[in-house]
Amino acid sequence: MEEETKAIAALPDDALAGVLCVLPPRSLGVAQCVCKAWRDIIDDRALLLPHLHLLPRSVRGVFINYTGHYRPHLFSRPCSSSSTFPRIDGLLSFMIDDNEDEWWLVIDHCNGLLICHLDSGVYVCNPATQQWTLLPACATPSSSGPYYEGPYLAFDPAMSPHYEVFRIPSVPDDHQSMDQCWPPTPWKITVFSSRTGEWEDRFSMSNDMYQVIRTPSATVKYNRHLGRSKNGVFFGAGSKDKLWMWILNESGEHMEWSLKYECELTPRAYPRNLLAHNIWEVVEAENYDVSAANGEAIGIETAQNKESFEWNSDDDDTTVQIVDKVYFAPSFDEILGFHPFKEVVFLVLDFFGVMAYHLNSSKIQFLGYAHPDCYPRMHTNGIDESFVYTPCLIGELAEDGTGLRSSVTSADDDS
Amino acid sequence: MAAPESGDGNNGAARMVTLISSDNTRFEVEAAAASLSQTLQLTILDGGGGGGDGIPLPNVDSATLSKVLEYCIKHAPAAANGGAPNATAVDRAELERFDNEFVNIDQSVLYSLIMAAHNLEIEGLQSLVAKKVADMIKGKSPMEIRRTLGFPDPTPEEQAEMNAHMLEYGWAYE
Repeated sequence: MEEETKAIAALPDDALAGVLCVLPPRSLGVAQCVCKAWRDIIDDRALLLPHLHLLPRSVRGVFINYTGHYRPHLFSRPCSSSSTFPRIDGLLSFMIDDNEDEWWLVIDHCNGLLICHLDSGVYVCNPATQQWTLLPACATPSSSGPYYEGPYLAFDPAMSPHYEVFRIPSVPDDHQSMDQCWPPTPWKITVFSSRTGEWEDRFSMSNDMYQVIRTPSATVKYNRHLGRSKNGVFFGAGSKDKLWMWILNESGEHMEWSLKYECELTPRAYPRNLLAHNIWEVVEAENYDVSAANGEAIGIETAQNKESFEWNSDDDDTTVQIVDKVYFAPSFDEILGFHPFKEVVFLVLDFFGVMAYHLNSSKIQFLGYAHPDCYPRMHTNGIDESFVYTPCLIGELAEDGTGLRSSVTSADDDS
Repeated sequence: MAAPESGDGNNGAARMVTLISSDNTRFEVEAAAASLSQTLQLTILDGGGGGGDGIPLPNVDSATLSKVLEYCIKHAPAAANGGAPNATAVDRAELERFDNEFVNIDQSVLYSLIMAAHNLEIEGLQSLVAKKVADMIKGKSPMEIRRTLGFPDPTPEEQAEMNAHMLEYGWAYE
């Protein structure tokens, strides 16, 4: 052995991997930059894999904006004491003082991060790590230009702890405007990157090329929902007892929708215990801890024992004892959202009732009533928008909490 | 050194084995200590290394082997007790003090120990030296890590590539 190469740098791969594997995730991130050999070892041997439990992998609940209501609520599985996952502050009280009566909305969610619109500005926050940041105002002049959709959030903690926020020119919804001002020139998406902390114009359609992906069916114009599900992007539509689900085929040169499921929610005898439990609850504004589920489950008496039938989105095939069955004709008003990790659709029935529908097995499970106590029951009231929430702890990757830059008013004063 | 009970006891006396370093130095050591090495354990269970035979270790020089055996002898009693369920706090503190002192060494010795621990598959020693290197890495920038661990200066291409990756992973040391 050459005497001069006895530096750690000269270690063979196997020995080196044994050393690198004890590094905490943050140091592994740095180690990836040291040299190609190290990067290859970390990638090839998936040394970051044990830290992936910090990534979003289960559904905790749904953030819901209610029509004409001053704040969204998290409708979720109550945090059980056995859960390894930290309690989620569904009220975002780490960021929003509920006594201020400030109006706010959730605008988008992606892998555990939320964008919220408050009177004071647009915020990105992570309810699981209780980190938040105020987005700088976007300087795009829009007096004569196109209207913008969004902002939308792009965040994949498996790739990078950084997120991006997109503002996308909206497509006119009538043919006349379409002819006159589509595509807008210059066509640009303005993007905020947490890496740079700045907005920038991302792409233009300088080559006049774009692809329109037509929505699946012109006949289904109501209750549509677009979202990510287990196997890709889903487009769902339907109501009452009919549900169609298309999946976006992205493999070919042209992306197109193909019909994946055509479901009929058949009236039949369903296990009573799947219908009678309120296992998800609304996190109430005033009494955070005592949010008693007060709805009656589809006209069936509410059972008291919630624990025994707790719906576990990670493992919903656990044996639910079928005590007895009850006749039930499922009928839904709208689609609340898609389960991002399995073929499950969340459906709304009777304005606030939420059930999970398993596309493969046609199994139905009632989750509870997503009606907050502080929200008046009026016939115009209902669920406006909803975002299936998958908590993400990846903020911990940057051990001192800089995954999101803390804003000046935050308790953290490092930046 | 107190002789640990070796399951199928050898008349009370601790069984000894002989290890031969790459530069032909012979080390006589208790079988229980040498058996911390997964690699050696099988040979020893097979009855090897006893008498005049000795087990040759062509990858380990005498300086390194003596250091490795120092570790093994210190840790053998605790290992024989199946980890340390009935070890006292004092024992554990003493082992920890020993470990800290043990890796307070210069980098070429550390290198040899990493290689030896890896080749001989001595689990405890492997994690000890890995932790030592981790401590040398933690809190440093990629460039500082390169300097600390004896990398040559990066070529312009490597530098450019590092910069690109630091953009990608810059979060890690913001």
